[in-house]
Amino acid sequence: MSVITKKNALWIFETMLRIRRFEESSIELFTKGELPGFLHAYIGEEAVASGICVHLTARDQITSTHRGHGHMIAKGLHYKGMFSELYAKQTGYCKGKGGSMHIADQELGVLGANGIVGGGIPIAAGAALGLKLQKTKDIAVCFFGDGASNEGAFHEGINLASTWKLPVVFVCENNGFAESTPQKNHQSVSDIADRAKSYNIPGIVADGMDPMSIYEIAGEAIKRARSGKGPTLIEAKTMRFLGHYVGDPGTAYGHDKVVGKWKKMDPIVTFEELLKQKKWIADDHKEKLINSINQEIEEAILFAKESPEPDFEDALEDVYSDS
Amino acid sequence: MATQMPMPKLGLTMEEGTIIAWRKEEGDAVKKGEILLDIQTDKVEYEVESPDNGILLKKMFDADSVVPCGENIAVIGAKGEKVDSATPAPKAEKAKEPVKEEVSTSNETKAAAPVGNRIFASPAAKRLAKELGVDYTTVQGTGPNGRIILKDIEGASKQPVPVTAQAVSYGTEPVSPMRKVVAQRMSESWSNVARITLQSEVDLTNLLAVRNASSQAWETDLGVKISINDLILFYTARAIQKCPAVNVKFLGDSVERAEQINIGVAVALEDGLMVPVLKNANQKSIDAISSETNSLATAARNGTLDPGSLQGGTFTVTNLGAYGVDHFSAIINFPESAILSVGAARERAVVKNGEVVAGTTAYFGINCDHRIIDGAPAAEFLKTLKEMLEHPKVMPA
Amino acid sequence: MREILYRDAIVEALDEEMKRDKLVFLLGEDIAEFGGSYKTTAGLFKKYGKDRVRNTPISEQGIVGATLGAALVGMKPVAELMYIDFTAVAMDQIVNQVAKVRYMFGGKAKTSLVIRTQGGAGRSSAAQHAQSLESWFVHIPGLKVVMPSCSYDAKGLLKSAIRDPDPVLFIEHKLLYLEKSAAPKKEYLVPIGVAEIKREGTDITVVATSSMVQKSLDAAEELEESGISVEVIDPRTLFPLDKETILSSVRKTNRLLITHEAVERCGWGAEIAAIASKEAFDYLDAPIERVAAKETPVPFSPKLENFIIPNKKDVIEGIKRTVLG
Repeated sequence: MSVITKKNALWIFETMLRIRRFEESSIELFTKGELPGFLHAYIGEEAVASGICVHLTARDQITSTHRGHGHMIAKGLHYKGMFSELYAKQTGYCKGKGGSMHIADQELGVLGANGIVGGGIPIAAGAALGLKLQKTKDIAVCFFGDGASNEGAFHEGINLASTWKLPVVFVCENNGFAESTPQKNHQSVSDIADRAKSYNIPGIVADGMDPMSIYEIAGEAIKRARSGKGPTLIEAKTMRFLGHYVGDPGTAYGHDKVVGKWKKMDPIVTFEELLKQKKWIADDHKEKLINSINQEIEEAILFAKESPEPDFEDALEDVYSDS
Repeated sequence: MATQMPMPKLGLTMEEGTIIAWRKEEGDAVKKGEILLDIQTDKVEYEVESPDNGILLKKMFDADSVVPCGENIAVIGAKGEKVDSATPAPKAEKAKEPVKEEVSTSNETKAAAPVGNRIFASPAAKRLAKELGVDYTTVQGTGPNGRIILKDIEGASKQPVPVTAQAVSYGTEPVSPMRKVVAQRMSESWSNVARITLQSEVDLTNLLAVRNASSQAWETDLGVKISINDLILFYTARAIQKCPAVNVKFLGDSVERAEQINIGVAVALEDGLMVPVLKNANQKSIDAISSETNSLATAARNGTLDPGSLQGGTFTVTNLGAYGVDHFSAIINFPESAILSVGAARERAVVKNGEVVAGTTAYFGINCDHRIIDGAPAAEFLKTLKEMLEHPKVMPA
Repeated sequence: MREILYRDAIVEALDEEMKRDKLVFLLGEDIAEFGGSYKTTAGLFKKYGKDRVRNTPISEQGIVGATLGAALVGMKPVAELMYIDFTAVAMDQIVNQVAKVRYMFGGKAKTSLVIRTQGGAGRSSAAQHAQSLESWFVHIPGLKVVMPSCSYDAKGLLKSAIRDPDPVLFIEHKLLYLEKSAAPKKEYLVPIGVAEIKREGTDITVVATSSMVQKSLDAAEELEESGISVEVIDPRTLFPLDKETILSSVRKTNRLLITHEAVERCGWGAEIAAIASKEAFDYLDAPIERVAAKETPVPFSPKLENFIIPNKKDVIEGIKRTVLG
């Protein structure tokens, strides 16, 4: 069991708040009609992204999902670039051409959020392969949901990674719903971690609402990967507090009925408790943090709003490397 | 065992053969290799040998029958052997038939007559018609559906358009396509170009002497009769080479300097004028110039000129010397910028070494577009040409 | 110049590029000890070892996705999909990931990768192993599509494809593998995006790819005797397309026929026809013809298979229809 340092604990706490506030702000903007496209909010799942990314460097690679803002922020992407991308501005991480579901930054090791469920799994395996061939100690982490665990790509990617002993950690954020289908209606297993057995790799269930659980389990898995022992499948049991997309009340498929009990396990609330108990933070620490985060967010939103939209010619650029 | 004999495939593209005549009758003995029948395909006749020894038991087809390759035409076997009178055509052939049908029908454009007043003409034909000033709507189309195609326009441009029967009053007639083009070109040149005319009297004595001295040799060695005009063209090309300023096109805000020297030679026709082009004239030998000029002029007069020969000109030469014209001012062949006019070669009084003697001279004129060619360069060209003609240094051969 | 088999030209290209650049590695089914089901990676496993010549499980999505992932972190992978028919299994990774990553990421992505595959009929491989599906990929912005017709082009183009910073779909033909033709030993490249006039002519322009190139050349040879002069152009790269070579030719001959082994309906030939009818409109003296496969899955029976794919005779007939009217 890894013992968490105060520094890491505080980092996790701050990161969860950064994610939470970002999501809340972008939902507000979206609801006001200011953002085109869709949003898939990560609210409730912050512990997973934070608890894992605390172990990673900029050279470690992650693939993410349509519900990827949490991973992005935890990996170090800044508000300005993210809000600008949501606003479809030139200054966004993808020059306004990717949007919420495709945010990426190769410099920080983010190989993109992905709009195809499961699409990132073979890609993460490939990234790990590349890192291994380059003889680095860097690894890849692949985030995906319970829905993705039924895609062929899940099987192919993990099989490849396990056969070639690639330095990758597969993280399934099981929030109990694949879009509108509850888990029990879309697969026969209740613990997706059990599927790891088919690939002869460790499969571990983690408490996705508890940053410490994630921190410890991920720490082990990441160490395994770095030391060449191959992949691990972590299943983080978690819950998104909102619907599949912003605007989905979740009432049609019973989400509203279960979410209540998960909200009681809000990772920000419970972790704040833990940190206070350890006397690592003061009572007003959270408030102070939120204020400074809000400040940052306000500036970033202003920046995004004032940024120019892409030019028409930009539509034709970047299709190929020379265009 | 009876031997089936199919219609042979005697060539890659042969599909069927016509039986001209059988050399043997049913019941006759035949030897392997003996000629059994004559067939014809694609206008060629062939003798076909018997494939086996035996009796010609059956002839499947009579003379004049057209039989597809591979289909049986005879059976050779032992005397008295039974032969199926009904000859099933080999399965492969049967299958081929419908295939051929299907392929051709699915790809054939079902020929329907032009609907209503629509005239079918290919885009290329329309373009060429416009370029040549041909009214394509009056041209007979030989393409599918009566479509007017390139070669129809090419043919029409050599003939005057048939006169329509309406509105013909005494003394007037419709203008031919060629006249229309000439008229249009002349007026375009006249209204756009700022013309200057320079004239120079050129002493052709030396040139004539060269020609007279060498003409026998040229005829024997090169097989052509070199005329003075040929020599003039030869040297004009080389003079242009030295003075490229006259080989340009003025486009308003840019000038096109031609990389080739393509000299148009004006040819008078019965009802008009054509200017076929001598391409790369400066690279041609004197005999090439002579024979090519000759054939171009002949083709122009016969109406068999390839439209390509009328294109690409960068400079024009026109010669009315044969008509006894001394000097004249020609209209520039727009959008070229210069034209050389050549007058009659006459015996005139010339001054040599302070004395008046008889010499043969001709007046050469250069008309230039002063918007792009100033007087000096024009004069320079004329001077250069005059020098070359008066002192023919380069022995053309 | 020495002559080598088309498949050996591929091996040589891979060998030379792997030698030249340590970042180049191969992945695919049966490519290691077995040398590839068409022997296009023969000898490379022995030379470069299992890290750089990697046998994969039968997992086309896995293969393509891993290829992309490796490229994104700076490697230069060359994946083999054994049959182009199997690209259907990996379409998400090819179309939604590989082709789009650079654009979606606003231009900041490393996507130097090659997906090698082969297609074509003529071996009674039947419907799921004999298709020509290049048109699918030419349609997707973000992919480059290359189809060599001879050993010289195969070797030169594969080397160029591997060095290209964009994803390239490199489509070989199963019947061409055992065709021998000239290819130099010395280092050379064939640039992507440049067509080649394989035979000059004046009466009609025939644009042909892959297996149809030789058939068209044979047709042209035969028609020479009938006085029809055929110009045969091999685009070699389907996208980016060398339009100008084709259009200049059409302006010269005034007639165009396109032939490919892909099915005629929405085959890539339609794209050429549309381009020519617009950009060489005034030069067309006859309708544009296509000679392509009939619109059926590929049958197993050799007789039927040969019937549905276009052959030299079909090209000849198509040319005659266009030229003679």
